[in-house]
Amino acid sequence: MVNTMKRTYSEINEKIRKRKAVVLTAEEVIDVVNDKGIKGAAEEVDVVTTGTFGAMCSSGAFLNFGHSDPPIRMANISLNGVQAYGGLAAVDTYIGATQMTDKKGGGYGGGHVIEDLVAGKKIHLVASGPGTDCYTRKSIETTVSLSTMNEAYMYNPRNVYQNYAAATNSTDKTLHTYLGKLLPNFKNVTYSSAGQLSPLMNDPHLDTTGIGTRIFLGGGEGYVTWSGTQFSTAAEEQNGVPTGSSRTLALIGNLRGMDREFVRGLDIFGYGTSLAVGVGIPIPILNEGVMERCAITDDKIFTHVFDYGIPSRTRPVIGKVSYADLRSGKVEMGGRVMRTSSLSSYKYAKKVAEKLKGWISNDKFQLTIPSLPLPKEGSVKGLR
Amino acid sequence: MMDKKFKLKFNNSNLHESVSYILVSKFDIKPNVLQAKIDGSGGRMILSMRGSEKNIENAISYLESADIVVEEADDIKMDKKRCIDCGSCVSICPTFAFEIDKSTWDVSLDTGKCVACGTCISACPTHAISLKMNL
Ligand code: SF4
Ligand code: SF4
Repeated sequence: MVNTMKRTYSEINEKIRKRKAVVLTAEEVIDVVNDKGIKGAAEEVDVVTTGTFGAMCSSGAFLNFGHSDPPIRMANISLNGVQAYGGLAAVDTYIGATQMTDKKGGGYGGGHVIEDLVAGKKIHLVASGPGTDCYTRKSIETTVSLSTMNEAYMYNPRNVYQNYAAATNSTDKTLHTYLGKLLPNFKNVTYSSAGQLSPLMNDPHLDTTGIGTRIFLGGGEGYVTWSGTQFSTAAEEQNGVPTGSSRTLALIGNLRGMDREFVRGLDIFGYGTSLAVGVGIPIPILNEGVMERCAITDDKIFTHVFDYGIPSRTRPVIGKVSYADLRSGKVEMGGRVMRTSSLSSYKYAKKVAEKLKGWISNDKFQLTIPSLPLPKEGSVKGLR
Repeated sequence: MMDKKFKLKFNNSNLHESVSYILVSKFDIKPNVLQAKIDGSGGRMILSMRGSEKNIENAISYLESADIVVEEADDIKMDKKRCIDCGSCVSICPTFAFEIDKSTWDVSLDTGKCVACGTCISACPTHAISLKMNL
């Protein structure tokens, strides 16, 4: 295909300012491409919005509580009974999504603390420290909330995994995994990806997403800061997208301005707590190639089903399925019919993409040119 | 047609009544015993009835006249304010009580299909499903 159409970021932003930009979600644009072809669609559409909403365990928030009088250097910190990191400066901390409550019964963790903060709730803070000449106080118990703190920002070292494994269970016992409940004897398959709506499925080689890209994060505005941990380009590709977990992003955003609807603590039975975060990345249609990649559909995106009954880093592969099949409610594999369900929410992924579309269409969100591209290659090492 | 769940309490004198048989033959009701605990001093049962409103009403009157205590049982509840429509509950329900709307991707629960097995409770990461059916 001769690549004729070209558009720049500033042209798109100019159209956004005039409220003339044509913005569609990654789902809506599929019909336009089917109708008018890649070329026609690329000429018409300025921005495609993507979205995902699921458990993102590598998430958390940096908080600064402000100084008490007399001041304390906090070394042991707990928020609503959940331990936060005590190895930063006196009243700085990081609360991670998977840190679980010290209380018996569980069911609550760092992800819930972050949800409660975003919801404006009061949080019980208990902290102690060594007591020093400059920080004489040794303990404190008080109440904090988003409005009493200085800074509070989400920093997620690994989000928006580009594709992810699907899981099933060959054993005769029910397994409780981070991909949900797996019934015995291959009865079900669980998965977690927004597929055709997923940010990194629509920009598979990170042509437009880079460091500094402004995004939708948890209902507010955020930014891509770096490549995420376990960033990999090793997975085999099919239809231009990887068939296994690949690229990831590190994200940042102010907790103030986020919306509890898109920041939800999770309690995954038998695994622990996590945080469901809504993330949406806008894709500027700079040329026909970008448009073509945004037109990807669930029937062209594949993932492998692994047997989580085998407790090894290299679990056996049971088969390969498309997201269209996974979303249909059942898949057939090796003569078995297995029911499917997702751990990420497609409904909320759509909400994210639609909300971001609304912001851009109403000139509340402009696109940024990345300051640096993300790595072209990456691989994941194991631990000996 | 409606589905309703009841808690029945028996004593020694009426324990011999074959409730299911009576419901089917006399009241055209489809009964389903979800839980039961019977011992020497009597018993308790959680039973769902499927039938017309009128027939269910008549059946309850009949059971009460046989000195069986009938209480409406707490049904399974799905709190849509907590639910994030992930779908984790969908593939593990033995009676296909959850449904996903393929255009909105909204997950809903048909309480009438639920047999109170409890499998979905721990499968839900947002604690959105509650089932209080103590015998
Ligand atoms: S309790 Fe059992 S039958 Fe009822 S909805 Fe949950 S999984 Fe289905
Ligand atoms: S598992 Fe819970 S949150 Fe997920 S769809 Fe079912 S009820 Fe909703």
